[in-house]
Amino acid sequence: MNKLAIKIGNLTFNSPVIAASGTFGFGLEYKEILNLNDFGAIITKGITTKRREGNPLPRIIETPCGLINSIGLANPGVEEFIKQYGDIYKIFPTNVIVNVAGDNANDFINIIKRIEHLNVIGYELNLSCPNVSDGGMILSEDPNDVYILIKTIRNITNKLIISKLTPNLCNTTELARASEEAGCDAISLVNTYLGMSIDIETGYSRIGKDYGGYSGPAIKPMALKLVYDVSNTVDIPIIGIGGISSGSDAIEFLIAGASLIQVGSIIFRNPQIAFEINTFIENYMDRKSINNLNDIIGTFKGSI
Amino acid sequence: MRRIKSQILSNKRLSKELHLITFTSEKIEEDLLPGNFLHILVSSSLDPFLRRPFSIFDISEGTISVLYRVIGKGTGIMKDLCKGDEIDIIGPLGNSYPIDNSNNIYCIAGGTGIASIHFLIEYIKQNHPTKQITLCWGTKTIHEFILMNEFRLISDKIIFSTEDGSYGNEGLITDFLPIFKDNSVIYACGPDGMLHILKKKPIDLPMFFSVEKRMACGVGVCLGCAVKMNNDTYKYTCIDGPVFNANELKYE
Ligand SMILES: Cc1cc2nc3c(=O)[nH]c(=O)nc-3n(C[C@H](O)[C@H](O)[C@H](O)COP(=O)(O)OP(=O)(O)OC[C@H]3O[C@@H](n4cnc5c(N)ncnc54)[C@H](O)[C@@H]3O)c2cc1C
Ligand SMILES: Cc1cc2nc3c(=O)[nH]c(=O)nc-3n(C[C@H](O)[C@H](O)[C@H](O)COP(=O)(O)O)c2cc1C
Ligand code: FES
Repeated sequence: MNKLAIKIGNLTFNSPVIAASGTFGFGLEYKEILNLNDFGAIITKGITTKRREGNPLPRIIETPCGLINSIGLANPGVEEFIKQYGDIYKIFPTNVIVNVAGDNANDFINIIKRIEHLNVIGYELNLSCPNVSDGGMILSEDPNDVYILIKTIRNITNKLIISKLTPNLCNTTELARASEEAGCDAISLVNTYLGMSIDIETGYSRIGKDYGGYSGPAIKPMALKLVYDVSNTVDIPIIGIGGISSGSDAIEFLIAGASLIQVGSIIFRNPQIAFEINTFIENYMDRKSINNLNDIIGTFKGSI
Repeated sequence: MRRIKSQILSNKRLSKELHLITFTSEKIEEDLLPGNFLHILVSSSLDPFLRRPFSIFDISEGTISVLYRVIGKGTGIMKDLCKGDEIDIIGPLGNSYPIDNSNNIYCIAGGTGIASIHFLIEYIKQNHPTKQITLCWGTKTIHEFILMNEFRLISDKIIFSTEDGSYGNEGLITDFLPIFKDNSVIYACGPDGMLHILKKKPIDLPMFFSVEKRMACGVGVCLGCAVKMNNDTYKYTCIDGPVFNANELKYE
């Protein structure tokens, strides 16, 4: 038996490690240098109804142990996405989840209706992109809106619905609860933190917008805390995200209450990270005589 | 594309800021074309976090050399690497300079742009020995003209300029370009400012620019390294470039 296997509902993931949206393209870009089935699933770049060119330059700046991005949801739009990847996902080495983004509830619904026939296991709803001024942010703030959106989507699909939440609001636990009540299958947490960087010589922002999305190892302690808080609030599985860069980081998230984890920015540095995390968790389970991943999840003991 | 652990063979300072690092290549060099780049992880520490993109300066059997300027955190670490140290490399990445039937090749290099131009000239000399190569090379100051004898050997003609006038023409290399012959092609690599000036010149020849943009992934997944095209769409330096037809590019 595969010790790393974990289930959400009746869906099996061969590994708890998932490639995060926006850091793994559409799944093929790294295929020459890694095994796709080291990932329990891969999540696509966020898809919108229409093609988006993305934000002005520069879009990426490095910060200590992390980066700030201002990509602006550049993507080919749902129709082009179907044309380019529909057939490829028919035979793909691991589960595919589509990250869906929109300006309003209709966008989400229209996209999901269009891609419902694809061989993907579910949808991660990006309720939190910091890079679209007219988008995600507004929709995601009100638990009622989130409830209605997910409820509507629940009516049109039996596939996995994952609500991806922002860490930038103070009501994350309420949004998680609203998602759960509406019939969501899992919560992804966290998207990027809002961050800034200023060129002191010119006084201008060092990225193409005034602020961007902050990710990487630097955000890990904050993300871990939020995963812990939300796991105490809802019963559906949590997919922990935020700066995970090693096997030990991944296990911390599992102990805090995440059932699966995503690796994002670290992929840019170490594309083979999923393999390394899998190996680390297997050794850890052997060492601790743990046979089932579920026996790690949510076992945080508090302070001594 | 492959990912390798590579051993440093030498790491030499050539001028105040320019260094030449040579490392083992695990046969990656066999697939390298001029214009391609490598994505190098210079340290196992999480700070600096990202890989650093570098052009190829030179290859020989089993080894690759990169010419780099020390400007920040990553290159600051690189300059202290010693023989036997390991670096982690992904490559080859990106496209290459397209080589057509033109008889006359004009290479315009500014600053560390000379790195990919060096590999290009060597490649052309080896594979198309009848082509005539003119190198137009601009730097800030005389000390940046490194390995001059070698460049004199592989180029048919060289025009030099320095911003401080310490060698060759005084000013920007774009002010001292020769009269281009027919049946020619221009390859340019250097700072954005230099490429911008070139683009504005009334040059009626095929012209290709190798551009530098900030990168996170180097393989087309992060969409960070966007370059603006004439029609206001974006292309990506790491997969569509770094070499672009100058006609396509928009400079604002
Ligand atoms: C395709 C390509 C080929 C290149 N070839 C060479 C070469 O042959 N020789 C050479 O000296 N330099 C080259 N560069 C530039 C080189 O990547 C940067 O000088 C280097 O990344 C600086 O790193 P740092 O940590 O020392 O600087 P820092 O300023 O500390 O870097 C901070 C961040 O900015 C990025 N960055 C800074 N300057 C540049 C730049 N000019 N282009 C892209 N990213 C930058 C870094 O990668 C890093 O993510 C190339 C860049 C590209 C895109
Ligand atoms: C360059 C980049 C692009 C991203 N694009 C998306 C996106 O399209 N949709 C989304 O939901 N999250 C996106 N994210 C957020 C990541 O999926 C992840 O939630 C975040 O980076 C935190 O994880 P990390 O610290 O492991 O990177 C992006 C992140 C980065 C760095
Ligand atoms: S560097 Fe990530 S897309 Fe080019």
